Amino acid sequence: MNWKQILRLSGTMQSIIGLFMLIPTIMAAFMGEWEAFRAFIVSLALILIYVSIILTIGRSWQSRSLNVRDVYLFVTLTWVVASALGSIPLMLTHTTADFASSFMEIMSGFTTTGLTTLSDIEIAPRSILFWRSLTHWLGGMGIVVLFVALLPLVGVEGFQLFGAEAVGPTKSKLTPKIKNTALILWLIYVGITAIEVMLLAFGGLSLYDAFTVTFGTVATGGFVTKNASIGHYASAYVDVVVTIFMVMAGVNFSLYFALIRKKITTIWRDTELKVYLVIYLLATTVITISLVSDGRYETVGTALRYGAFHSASIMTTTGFAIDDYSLWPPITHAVLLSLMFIGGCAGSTGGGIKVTRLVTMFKLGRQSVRSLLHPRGVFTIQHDSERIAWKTVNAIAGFIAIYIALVLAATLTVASAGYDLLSAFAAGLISVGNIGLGLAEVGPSGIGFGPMPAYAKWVLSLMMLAGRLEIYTVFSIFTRTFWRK
Amino acid sequence: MVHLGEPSGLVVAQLLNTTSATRHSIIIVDRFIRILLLWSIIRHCFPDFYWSFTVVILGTPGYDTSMKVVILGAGKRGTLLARHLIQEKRDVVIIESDPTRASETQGKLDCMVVVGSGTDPSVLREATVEKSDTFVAVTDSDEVNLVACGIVENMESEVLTIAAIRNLTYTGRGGLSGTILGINHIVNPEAETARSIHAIIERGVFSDVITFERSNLILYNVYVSEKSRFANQNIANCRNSIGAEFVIVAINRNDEGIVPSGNTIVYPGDTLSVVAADNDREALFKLLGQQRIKPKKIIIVGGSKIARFLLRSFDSSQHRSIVLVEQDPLVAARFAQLFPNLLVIKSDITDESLFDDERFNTYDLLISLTDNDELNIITASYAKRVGIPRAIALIKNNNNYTRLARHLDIDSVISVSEATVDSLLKYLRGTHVSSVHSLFNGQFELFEFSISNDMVVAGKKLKEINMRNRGIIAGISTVHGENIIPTGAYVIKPGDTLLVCAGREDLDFVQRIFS
Repeated sequence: MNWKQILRLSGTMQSIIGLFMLIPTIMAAFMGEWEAFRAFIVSLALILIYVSIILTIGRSWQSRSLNVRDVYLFVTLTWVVASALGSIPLMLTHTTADFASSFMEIMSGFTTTGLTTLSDIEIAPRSILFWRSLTHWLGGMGIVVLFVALLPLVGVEGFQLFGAEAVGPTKSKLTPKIKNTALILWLIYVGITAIEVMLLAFGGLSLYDAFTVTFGTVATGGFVTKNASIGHYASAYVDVVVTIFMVMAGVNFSLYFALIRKKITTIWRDTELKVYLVIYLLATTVITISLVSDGRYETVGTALRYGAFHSASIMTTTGFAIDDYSLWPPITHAVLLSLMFIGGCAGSTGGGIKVTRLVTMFKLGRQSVRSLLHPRGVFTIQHDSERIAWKTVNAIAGFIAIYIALVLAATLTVASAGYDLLSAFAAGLISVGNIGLGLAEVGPSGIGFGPMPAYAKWVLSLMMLAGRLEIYTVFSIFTRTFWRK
Repeated sequence: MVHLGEPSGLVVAQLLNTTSATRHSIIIVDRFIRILLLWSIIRHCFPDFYWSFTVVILGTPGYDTSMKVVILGAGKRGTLLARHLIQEKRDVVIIESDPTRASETQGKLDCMVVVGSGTDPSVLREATVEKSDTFVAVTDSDEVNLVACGIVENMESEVLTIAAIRNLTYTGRGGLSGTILGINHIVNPEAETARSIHAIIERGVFSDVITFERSNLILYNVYVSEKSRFANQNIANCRNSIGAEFVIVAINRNDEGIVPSGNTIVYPGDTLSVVAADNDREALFKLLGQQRIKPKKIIIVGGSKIARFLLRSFDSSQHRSIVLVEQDPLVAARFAQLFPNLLVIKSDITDESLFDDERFNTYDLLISLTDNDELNIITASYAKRVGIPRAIALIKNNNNYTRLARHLDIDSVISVSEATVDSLLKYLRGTHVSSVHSLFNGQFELFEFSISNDMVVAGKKLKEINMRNRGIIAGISTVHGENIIPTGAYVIKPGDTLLVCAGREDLDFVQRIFS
């Protein structure tokens, strides 16, 4: 284990987090929230001490390249340390009850989950809420990817870091150099963010609201600074803009690069995108029809608006709400629960199992049936007219198995804290899948995560991290072979 | 929000005491200039950022900082070449037909790998060949290399195409007079290997001594022991302690390369790379306690293509002191016919009586060139046991053996793929760089730069060139063939050859100075 190099990289990494924390610090000063300002200054000082100790001691350390284990450990540690340091302002301002809640809140931010332990969001200092939303934005495209984009790293390391954090099985290289790929992805991300901020500001939101909502949308996070989530704005325009950008954030970002380079055929031939959109449209249609027949909303248009918003919110793993859907007919709950399993596309900011994995598993199932009928037949699994290696198919099958096991483990934990079965199951799904908004008690009108005991919060924090880092990165660390000399 | 240029624009406007319309236009112009200024700063200081920005916002790959190379074939040569080029910060795209090997390569190197056939134009287009600077075809098949280069030449003749060709029937005995299919450069791996073996023999088979093409300077590595007179001295003192003139170009301390300056202190356990004039070498070698002999009586094992190239590089009179051992009677007969002065022995090299019968222990050097890596290593190692002073082994298939063979007392290990890649890199780096050697596992590289009239450095004093401690000018050969260990006052003249040593990461920087 190359601890010295890991520590040194982590020092540089956390200094980037510190730089971003300067933004809410300045905001706190301008808004006159002095308690929050003090909390931010203390956190910044702690980050500064952490970074300067590591970088001073580490100056004389030889730079050695990282191996695969080092990379996994570094990426996992980065997220844990960033969440721990990031949660200090929340703890110092007593926004959250204890350290477990603060850590869970910021882990939920960085992993773009968006589940909250706060019962009344609006009483918290506005600068603290901004920081909470900003963690979404940083975590969305990946803090390590940002690191790769900004700092000169030796090629292979950068590539491995990228791979350990990237979302889903995807061809992650757009350009020969990983650094340029990371930069391009971040610039696309910044571009989409800027467009949404402008559209929301045009719709009458204050810049503060426009930014916080946008951070939650493009990162598929879900934090809003209002108790009623997006429903607070009660504006059809905002709902439509947010719906469109949620769907956009759930698409593989390399397709935007293809769009920029005018390679329309690449987009057209992308199976995952097509399946993603078809699933989304189907879910929207079913929910809209059931809402119309239920007579809950006056016009078909309103029903469509609500249906489209919530299916996008759940499928892309965002977790926004504009209405209390627990009052909707049961069929809509069933649809939303199924969507929780699916998630966004590989290479997007969304969480969940990912459409491409499910497509591959579906093909595996079909192929298994065919090979039963033709015992001597030779079958391959293809994706976008490229053969998928068996190694990849096995890795995907293993992923889904562990994923389900994690959901069950989280369900058991939450149920042991006294939540009912549906709430506990939804809590498991929304933490591992980084969704953030579930059903029953963890739904829009439930008691939420605040009253949960501390142990459940730690377990759910781990689940969120595992889900965000695509399970293997985190869980390889808990194996015996990982630590064997 | 930051208001760019507002203060100074206002000041200018107030100074001129103008109307509000003029004031506004002055402010607008001022802002415009400032944005342009900021933009040009970004462009120069953060070229990577500028590049990605132009790609994302404008949709066109703009000002690309690095040379782009497309390599066909992710075999030993392809990956080795790619690794070298990536270390020099070039953009590399590899085309490989085997998906497993492609994903392995993708995992090891920071480059893009395109899976597909190199003779398929759509695959070549996917690898953006037409936008690249160089196309290098190094698959194992001559035909694929030739055809791929031909297709690329057809698509875009601006691209520099290089093909590795093994078979002599394509290039003829004396080499091709012109080009085929418009290919710019052809390398023959076997010929390159033979050439580097010949160079090693010429300089006397020391694994740790390097000679250069255009100057008579030599470089060798000295291990500093506790008792050495260099130990715990700074570099300036080291230079004064010996009568001979020399420059220490690099220090290897615990596998880490250091660029030394005058007050760097040498510790026991360091390995120094020292450049000295050839005239002083006897004095220095005596100091090192090593004898340098140029081998005359040579045993070559294995009648391979490389052996044929190697023999051709010797005069036919020199053939009298060379013996070739080959077990295939037909091949042996063919060599006897091709090289009449050569003694050809038809026997297995592992035959126990062979070494005694032919009195091999009286020879100076054994070169094992069979197709079998393991046999080459064993033969060379055995030759040293028997009493042959020097031995060279050829590695053809498994590059990992090179490290192993160094522990077996073999003086020099030649790898076909490394020799080929060295020659390719030499060609890629341009014509004014004549020879390139790497030090300490490639942490440092040595170049010979020929100075021409139009170079910026021509006519300057050495101390005026700011190398920023990134490299060292180790020696100079003047037009008249004099070798100089340089001082700061030396004025560089066109026609000189400069020997420069620099770290891998700083290659770009050093090359920019000398271009």
